[in-house]
Amino acid sequence: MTGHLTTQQIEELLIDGADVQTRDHLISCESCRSEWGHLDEMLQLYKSSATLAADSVIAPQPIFVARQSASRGNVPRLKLIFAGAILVGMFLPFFEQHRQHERRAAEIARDNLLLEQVDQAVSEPVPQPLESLRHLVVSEKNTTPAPGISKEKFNENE
Amino acid sequence: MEQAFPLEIINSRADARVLELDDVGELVRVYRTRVFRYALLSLKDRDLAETVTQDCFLKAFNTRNQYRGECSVYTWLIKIAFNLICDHTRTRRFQFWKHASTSFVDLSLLENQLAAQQQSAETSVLAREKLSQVWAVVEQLSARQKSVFLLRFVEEMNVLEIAHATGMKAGTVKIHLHRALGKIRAELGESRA
Repeated sequence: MTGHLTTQQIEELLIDGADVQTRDHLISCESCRSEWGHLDEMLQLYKSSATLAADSVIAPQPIFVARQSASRGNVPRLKLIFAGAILVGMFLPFFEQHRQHERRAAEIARDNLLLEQVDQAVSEPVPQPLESLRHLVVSEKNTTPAPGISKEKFNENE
Repeated sequence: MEQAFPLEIINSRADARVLELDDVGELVRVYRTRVFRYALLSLKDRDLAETVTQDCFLKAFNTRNQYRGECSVYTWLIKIAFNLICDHTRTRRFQFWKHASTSFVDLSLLENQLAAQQQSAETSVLAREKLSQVWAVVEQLSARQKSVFLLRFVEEMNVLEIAHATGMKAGTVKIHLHRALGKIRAELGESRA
């Protein structure tokens, strides 16, 4: 290689490395080495500054998991709670109505049971010790026959 | 029969990489800084860069079965990040340009480093000026040129890896890089006939 490296060749050197011929020329040519070196130095400085700038603002610890759980965990949970509250609000009146019906049915059943007990007690025959009182009450009430019934007929029935 | 052995090796490597993807905690620990840096430099918005980084790892984990091992895990992650960044710059164009008008980098942070590298205060000041010019030029590059430039000169990926990550042809990547370098050289006044 007789002449100096072209702009294209120097850029190619930085982009994709150099072939043997270009490298040999770079070693022997002070001017080309200086130009390449200066540009390379600026790019290295740029890299250092970019790295430094990025590292200075980077968060101290990874927040990947925390953010993931915050963004994907809490929102659906809140939605579920909200939906649950709405459902409870919707079904609460029906539930309350159902409970009232049940309470009323239980009361009716209790009343029926009591009435049955009363009926049973009423239909039971009069105990032996009170049998005489029964005759007494009947005789006191019905000593006079009803109008239109003769006294003989009344006494027969008795 | 001879081809069976290399294929087994290839498959076992791919399996090992898929296993690497299964451990999302380790994946984040190893690659998070680099993915975040690329996202931050591309978007210039810390919150957005963090969102992209997290989405990138989430997507990588969810689609880990699609990973065939034809590239490194890092290249695959950058490919996902590149697509996410493209989506964000498309949908949040307004915010992007609003943020692009101001630089988030404080070059005064580099003073010590520059002073240590340069021989005198004068050369240090000159280097700082030129560095700010480089930053300005990079910010003015198109989104694709900037992405390619960052992947080559900050992330130090080679042309084929960049081509794989961005879905461009290797020739297209080189054209983008030549144009970006041409603009930097023009700004620095170093063009050679």
